[in-house]
Amino acid sequence: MKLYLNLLKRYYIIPVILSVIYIVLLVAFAYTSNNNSIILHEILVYDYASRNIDFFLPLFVSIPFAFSMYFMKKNGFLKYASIRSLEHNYIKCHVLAQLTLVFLMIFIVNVIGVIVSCQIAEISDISMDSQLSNAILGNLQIEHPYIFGLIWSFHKAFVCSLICLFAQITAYYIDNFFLAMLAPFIYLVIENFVTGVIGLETISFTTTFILNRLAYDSVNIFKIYLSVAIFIGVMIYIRKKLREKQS
Amino acid sequence: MYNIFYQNRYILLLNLCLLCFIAEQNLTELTTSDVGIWGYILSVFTDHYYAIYCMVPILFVVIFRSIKEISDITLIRYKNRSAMTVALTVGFTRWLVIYFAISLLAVFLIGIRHYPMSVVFDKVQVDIFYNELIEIFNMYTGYFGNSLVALICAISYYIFGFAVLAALLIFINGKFGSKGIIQAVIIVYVLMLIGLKTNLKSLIPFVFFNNYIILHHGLFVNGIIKFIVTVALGILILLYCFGIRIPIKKRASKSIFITQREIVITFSLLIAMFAAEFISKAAFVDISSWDKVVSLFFGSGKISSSLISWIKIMIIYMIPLYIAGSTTQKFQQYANASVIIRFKNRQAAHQSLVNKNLQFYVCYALTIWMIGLMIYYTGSGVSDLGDMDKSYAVLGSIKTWNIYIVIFFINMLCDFVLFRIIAKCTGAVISFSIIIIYKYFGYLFKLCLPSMGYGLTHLYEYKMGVNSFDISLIITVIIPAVYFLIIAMRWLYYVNHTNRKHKQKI
Repeated sequence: MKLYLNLLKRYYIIPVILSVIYIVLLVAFAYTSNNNSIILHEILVYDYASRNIDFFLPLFVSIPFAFSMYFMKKNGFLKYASIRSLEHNYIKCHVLAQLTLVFLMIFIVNVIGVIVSCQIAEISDISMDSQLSNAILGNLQIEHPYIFGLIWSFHKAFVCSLICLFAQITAYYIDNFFLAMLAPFIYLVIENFVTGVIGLETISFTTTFILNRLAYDSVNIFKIYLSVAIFIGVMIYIRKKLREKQS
Repeated sequence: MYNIFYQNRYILLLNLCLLCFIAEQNLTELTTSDVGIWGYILSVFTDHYYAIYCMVPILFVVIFRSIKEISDITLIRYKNRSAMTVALTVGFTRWLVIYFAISLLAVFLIGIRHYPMSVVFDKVQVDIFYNELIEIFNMYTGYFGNSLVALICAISYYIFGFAVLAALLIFINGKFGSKGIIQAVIIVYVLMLIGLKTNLKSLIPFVFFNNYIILHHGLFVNGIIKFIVTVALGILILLYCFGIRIPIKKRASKSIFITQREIVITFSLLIAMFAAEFISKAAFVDISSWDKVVSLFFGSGKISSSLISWIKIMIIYMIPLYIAGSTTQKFQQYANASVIIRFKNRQAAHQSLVNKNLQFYVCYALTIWMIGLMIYYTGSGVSDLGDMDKSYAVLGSIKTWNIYIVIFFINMLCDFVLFRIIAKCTGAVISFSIIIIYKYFGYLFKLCLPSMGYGLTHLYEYKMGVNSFDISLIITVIIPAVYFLIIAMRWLYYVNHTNRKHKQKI
């Protein structure tokens, strides 16, 4: 526990800086979307704003949090750390600390983003049926955007933690720094492309963290968590292969 | 040869029974048609359902069993593995000749009771109801003029196709073992089924094995050019498996910085991008193959903004940039490695790295250009646009493609230069990320920025007067030109001043 808290204290600067950048971008896009789009519901401001940033969210949550793992392994720090505690315990605490920081960063930023978006939203007078009620928790999005924002931020933070975990695995097992850092992002781009081409975009992992990316009625909670399960399965498989290669 | 028959006697007996059953069935279907005995045998052997669902799986099993029996100790009987491959392929081909001779004899004995020993030179009249066998027979007779010659050609093509398959599987066995053969067989068979069910077999004929064995698929359906390409590729596969290859000079620097594996992966990814585009649009029969190439390289602009189009073009631009990043990282990681001492100094190694990257870029651009040319000239050109915007027709010309490839190469070069400049300050990973984010913002705000990943849509929109593509292109040309000019000037300066004591910043 003490090690975990120490690691949190050691690495908190990076998520703080990233959070500031993320919030600034999110609020800027929220203002732009509010002025340039027809807003039928408050949550749509956050929807349009976050969509612009979410494309390179995998970069945000992988590289800054995984490079320390890479250099720890490369520089032989883990061998010295194993004098004080078991190596796998140290790695576990380190990974857990990084995942906690990612989770908190994404959760807090997105909650702030939802609050700001709902506050600045200017609802249009045009009477149009947005069909948002067909989306995931559509009625909650329309009637209780703040509660939806909390739930969505929690889910998004969980998904981004998984991406960070993938980055930790590649950073630990892959020797090539370039590939190790960019592997999660490259995987998600290619997966997005392949699922788009073969018509399975509803179970693409990108759909799980970009709100209302597809047609409202094409995605449901089951499909989202199916794609999360597939991603976890792929991660476990890749880890197994990398481990076999290393041994 | 006798061993192959003996070991697979049950399965070959099953094959013979099925062949006789199909021959009898064809007999009832063709009984009123005057096709002659050779025409009848031709109709049996050119039945693609018999070939794909019966003959091919059985021959797969026969080949697999024969190859599995080859132990490593057998290799010492031959000069090398290639010589063994040649010998085994020739042996298997001889077996195939006997196999087809026996099959031919069986069908001959069934058909001779009903048909005269005549050669048919003319097409047969088609009945009121469509008869696929008559259609195929007429195709062969119309092309070859003679049912006997058509039969000989059809059988020869079967033997050629299976010989290519056997050589390939023997080669794969040498590299990957029996597991590799099973995987290869599954892939070949699944692709063949896909080719049979879709019109992909005529779009990319060399991928589907049915085009290598069934003559009317390979020649009549696909056309003479694609047939020649398919046969040429089959011969190249044979030569490759036999160990006859064009010698490539291997340089030490190439293997350190850009490994063979990376080259294979990147070019495979490029081919996969083309294949994915073709497969995704296979259901749209009105879209020609050239239109699919255009849609792959279309990109995203002001008029037509699409994330998936942008992602496609971005992946194509990022592949060589990934190589650049990976090589830069490797150079930093292994800077003190013993291989680096083969160079005059670190700067020379660095320069060699840049040269290898540029060579890769040139090969990459040339590959894309040649694939485009091949698809353009083997396809049916641009599809009829109907009521669509006729100015899109500018994208259908080969001249536009040639111009675009030059722009594509310049854009890649500019990406490389920007990457190297930014990487000096921030490192390869951050530099790569910055370039992606820069391109993304260009797509997001629908700007026409320098080196933003130009697609064909930018050419189209420039023609429409929607964007300032010319200015951004000029800047894209200037950036790498200035960079390489500075490098060349620095190189010349230090080369000419080696006698002076300069502190070279390495």
